[in-house]
Amino acid sequence: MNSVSSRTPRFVRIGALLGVAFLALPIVGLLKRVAWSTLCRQLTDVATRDAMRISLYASVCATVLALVLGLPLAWCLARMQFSGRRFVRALVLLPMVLPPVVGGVALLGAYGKSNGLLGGLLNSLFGIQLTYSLWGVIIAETFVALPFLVLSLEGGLRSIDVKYEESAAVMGATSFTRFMRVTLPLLKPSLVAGLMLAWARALGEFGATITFAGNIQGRTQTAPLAVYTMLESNPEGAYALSFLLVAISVGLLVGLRDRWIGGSSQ
Amino acid sequence: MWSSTDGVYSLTVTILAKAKSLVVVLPIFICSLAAPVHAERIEVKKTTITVSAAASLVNVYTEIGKQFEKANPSIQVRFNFASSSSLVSQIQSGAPTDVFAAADLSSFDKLLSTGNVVKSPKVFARNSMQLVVKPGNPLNISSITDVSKASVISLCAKTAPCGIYAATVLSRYGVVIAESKITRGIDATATLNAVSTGDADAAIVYATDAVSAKKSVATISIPAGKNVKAMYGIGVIRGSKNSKQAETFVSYVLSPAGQKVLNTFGFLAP
Amino acid sequence: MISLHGTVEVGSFSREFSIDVGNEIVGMFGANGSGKTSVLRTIAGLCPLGNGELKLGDDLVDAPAKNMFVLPEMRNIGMVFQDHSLFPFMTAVDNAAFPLLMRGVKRTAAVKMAAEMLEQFGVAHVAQHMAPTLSGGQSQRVAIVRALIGSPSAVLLDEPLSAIDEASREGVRNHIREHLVRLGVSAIVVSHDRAELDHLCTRIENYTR
Repeated sequence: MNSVSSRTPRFVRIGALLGVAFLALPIVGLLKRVAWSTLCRQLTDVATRDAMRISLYASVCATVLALVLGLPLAWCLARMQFSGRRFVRALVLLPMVLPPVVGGVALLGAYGKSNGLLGGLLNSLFGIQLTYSLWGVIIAETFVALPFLVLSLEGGLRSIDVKYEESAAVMGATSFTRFMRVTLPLLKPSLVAGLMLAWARALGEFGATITFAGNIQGRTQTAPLAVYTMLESNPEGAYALSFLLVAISVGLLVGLRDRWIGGSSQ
Repeated sequence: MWSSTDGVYSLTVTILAKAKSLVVVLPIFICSLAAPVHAERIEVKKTTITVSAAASLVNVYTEIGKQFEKANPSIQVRFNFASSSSLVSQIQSGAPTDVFAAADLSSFDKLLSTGNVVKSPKVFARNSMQLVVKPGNPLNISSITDVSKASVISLCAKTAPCGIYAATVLSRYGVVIAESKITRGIDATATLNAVSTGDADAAIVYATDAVSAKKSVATISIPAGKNVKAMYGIGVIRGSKNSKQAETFVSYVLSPAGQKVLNTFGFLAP
Repeated sequence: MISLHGTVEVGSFSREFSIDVGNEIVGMFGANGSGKTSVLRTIAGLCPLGNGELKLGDDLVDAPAKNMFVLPEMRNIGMVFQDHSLFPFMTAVDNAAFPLLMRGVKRTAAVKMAAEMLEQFGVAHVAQHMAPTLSGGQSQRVAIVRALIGSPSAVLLDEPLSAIDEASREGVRNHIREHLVRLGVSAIVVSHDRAELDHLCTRIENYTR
């Protein structure tokens, strides 16, 4: 046992305890507010069921879309030399620093039916309306979740030692095979962590969703929107739904604990 | 007309006259420079009051606040705008508020029952509802009766005053809109924005909000017979640490000065 | 057949180099850091030539003047890397079977062949172990198996015995030699250990700066 590293200074331990308390107290406080006797009834309420259904479906779709758009982007940022790289990097980070409502307004400017750059065209040519639809929710959630995935993937790609791909090439693996059989497995920890962050961010999105996709119960009212709406009209329902969201998040984090911290740790 | 000597003489007299006035003016000028410094030393203590007000009051109350502060330099007003119903929740949870201005009176009933206010509110303004659509009315909506031509209609939350008013108007027309077509804004402002900047086709909003949206929406008025009278109430919150200043603000809103501002923004007299 | 006549360039390193290897095992002897690995990497196709020509068999695989470059995955080369470079997310036997899978051999057959060859090199008992858990000597043997297994047309070995313990060295050396002779291919062995090259190779080139 290394005597230098095994003795954590007291102030560090106290600081960590404070951090744990800071994070745990709100969760405990929330659990205290849940009316356990009516929990089942609240959770099976139509509005709550709709909200969970929409949230789960949209957040998963958004995560997949973020992967489809984000992986090539991360690859180019990590491995390609190109001019305008700083601009692309800033663009990728933008949704992370933009206030979500501003993001929603920006999305309206691009995909809104009335005077959106692309949205207007889509509407006049094909009669497609992205706002106030489930696709609107997915787009809003993808917009805010994409940066998390790209950053995680880019970091992962940079940290992969290129020697594994080289040895695979010498052994006859084409670039696609190398990607599937060597790069992806090596990328797995970053990929899983990135997907989890992106999914969590998508699930929790409020400002961009409500601005771009609106707040239509049964169609675009996601769980966060439902909680907010219910806070005034049905606080018990709001706490019940909040509890469900916390339970899902914790469940997922615990379930993936081993895999996403990487094989060698406990 | 003027001989050169006359001109020089007149000029000299003018300059001397001006110089004399300078001699009078200069000391006053110097004193006035010194005065503020002196005044700062007296230290006017400013009290800050928090006014929680319905979202539909955002423009008019901001203006009233400016004028109030000018008239009462010792009081600073800090506003908190949101839907009346969420403000009620905030106050009941203990949010520090001095004055509450709601878009209806039943918000105060709720606060009375929980003991957050001790007396009835004063009605300081009236409002009514309007139907707004996209500029140019592309869907040719003539009134509430054919509002279902719109694919997405923006209303306030069911439990917010403006949502309740909208529901009343709809029921007076006997019109039912499917929930799947209704997007609920978090407050009156957001409800209007769904039409003015978003893709919603129609919204039922306060007449005052429709007016302040100007050209970004087209307004279709709802006749008085089917319309609602929204009564806006104001009152001091129990437990306010600045109740004297709070009462001053309430009085100002009810005074002719305050009422004039409300009138300018389209609110009707109580 | 390996025939290289040209300039080997890796980063800022640049050196004229010529070598012809027939059906033999040629050793390249030189101090560490003299660029021997760069020569192997160039032959494998991981770095292009600066100028000159590289032929494998009768085929021209690298000729900058003619704008010709064959990708490493097309060159059918077996290579033992200095740090082994086994895939950390695979077991030893899966690592060894990889070149066969790339050549289209079905998985069960490939794993069987790999297991047999691992046995020959004395590492059958760690076949199911994950690559990062292998000792230095074990992973080097797996790397050797991986380089020889795919019936390559040329074999490049970079310090192939450096991690093998003294006692086992002769055995491993003999196995390597046996396989290379049986395959009948050109092979280049790089090492800083002269004695090792003497035992393994048919010819030795001195490679000093």
